[in-house]
Amino acid sequence: MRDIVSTYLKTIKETDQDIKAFLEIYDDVEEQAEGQGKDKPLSGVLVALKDNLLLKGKKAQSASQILSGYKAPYTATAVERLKQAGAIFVGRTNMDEFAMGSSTEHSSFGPTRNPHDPSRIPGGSSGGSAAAVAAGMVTVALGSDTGGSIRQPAALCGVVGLKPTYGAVSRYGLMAMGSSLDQIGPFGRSVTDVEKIHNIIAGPDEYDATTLTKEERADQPKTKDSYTIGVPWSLVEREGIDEGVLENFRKSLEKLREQGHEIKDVEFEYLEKSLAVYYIVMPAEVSSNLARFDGVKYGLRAEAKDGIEEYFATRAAGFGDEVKRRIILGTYLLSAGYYDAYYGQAVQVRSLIRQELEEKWQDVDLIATPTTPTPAWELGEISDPLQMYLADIFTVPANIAGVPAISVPSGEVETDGAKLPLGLQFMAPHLGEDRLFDVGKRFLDEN
Amino acid sequence: MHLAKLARIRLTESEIKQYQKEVSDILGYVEQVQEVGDAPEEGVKRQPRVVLREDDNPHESGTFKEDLLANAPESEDGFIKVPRIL
Repeated sequence: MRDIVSTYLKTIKETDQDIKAFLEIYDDVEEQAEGQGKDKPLSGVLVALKDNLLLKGKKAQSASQILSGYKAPYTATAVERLKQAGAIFVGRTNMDEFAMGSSTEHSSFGPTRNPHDPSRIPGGSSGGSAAAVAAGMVTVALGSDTGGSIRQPAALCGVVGLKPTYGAVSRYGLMAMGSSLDQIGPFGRSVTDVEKIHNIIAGPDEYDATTLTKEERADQPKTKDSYTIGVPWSLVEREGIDEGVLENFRKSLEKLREQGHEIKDVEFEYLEKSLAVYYIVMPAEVSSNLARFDGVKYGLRAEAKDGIEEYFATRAAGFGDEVKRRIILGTYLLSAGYYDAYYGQAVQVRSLIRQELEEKWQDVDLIATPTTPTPAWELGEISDPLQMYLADIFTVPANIAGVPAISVPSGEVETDGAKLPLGLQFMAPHLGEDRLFDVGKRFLDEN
Repeated sequence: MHLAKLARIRLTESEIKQYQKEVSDILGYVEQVQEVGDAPEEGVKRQPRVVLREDDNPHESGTFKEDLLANAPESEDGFIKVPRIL
């Protein structure tokens, strides 16, 4: 086992020279392999962890300088469950700093490259995890998804990525970004692998009060022989969506029809406000969650003449551009005089979006959209923050509503001579992961 | 910039200018939530479920002290050392 792992590690290190998916490859991988043995469900399975997940004794820093040197004093529940199942952790993967971004360009360590075209981004914020799986360096990886950070890089890298129902997987040990939005989820090269990992890490956790109890998980939407799949055409056929993406999406729908499913148009009044709601709720939660990084208890501490100066200086030095931007934005949205107009209003609209979506499940079993409006773009191509945010247009509704969603590879589009992957996204009702796995496996001809 | 003070981040002059513009652009986009009509009906407001628990069975004092202090930028005699406040 040790020799096999050593060989794998060598290949991983070579492959990663060009891709830079990993921030660190652990120095005890062979030992872990030996310790994990051969008879557990995940024995021999190499797993990569996004840099915002804690594994006791290992460094973790959400790709930020403000957590330089920090070593996890405990292990995240999701990671612990994989460990108990026999998994071998290869290392921690690159990400946009504190999960803020859609390209992994906002990492304080520089970007990861898309294995399909190294001049392009892998997506974000879990770009490293997506690339590690896409390049065959690991079998599966864990990421986190707050507005699309698993599904979007999965689509752009040509792999499968799942965001579970909010509360399905414990967030204990995941560095918090948007506490009402965050979920941990798996990347894999097949829906079967993603399903396996999800079922191991999901479940109630007394360390995370937002996890669903056993009773709350009792009622799950059933799988069916064929599904009625809703498509929100007015959201999909909008300005800014790539022609190649639309064509690929139509082909995917054709395939679904051939597989026996019914495709239906669905109209939404509130759903397309999801992105605006997201960019109010998320920065607000971010500004609150990142207040803990103050240079006092852990991580970077800047030189300063007194304690107050030290806060200002540490945070100035330790946070990158995008993080500062979102903290400033969130601070504004929550400040006296603006709280009701923005945050208060956004929370109410969020309720409307949730309710509207819940009513739609009476008409349809699943909802399908392209995962992203475009294929992977070139490194440095998008510098306007708002333009980058628009990449999340199809993914954020699932986080806003708390429903599960999966992205499965749907083929390629050719752009400037490069063949770039695209993804098809399915959304299911609350706790409808089994439907996502079912329709996904069939779409990818996995059975 | 007042917001920078609230956020406890020292910003340079050029950063202030940059963020002012960018935040303004983003606000221009998210403002659309205000176009949405009235508050949702009573039925939509979810009842929060109470997840508070009693502080029973605390772990033994000092169990995690080593691990936590190990991450402190500076420590002395089991305390985290910080620059003076007053």
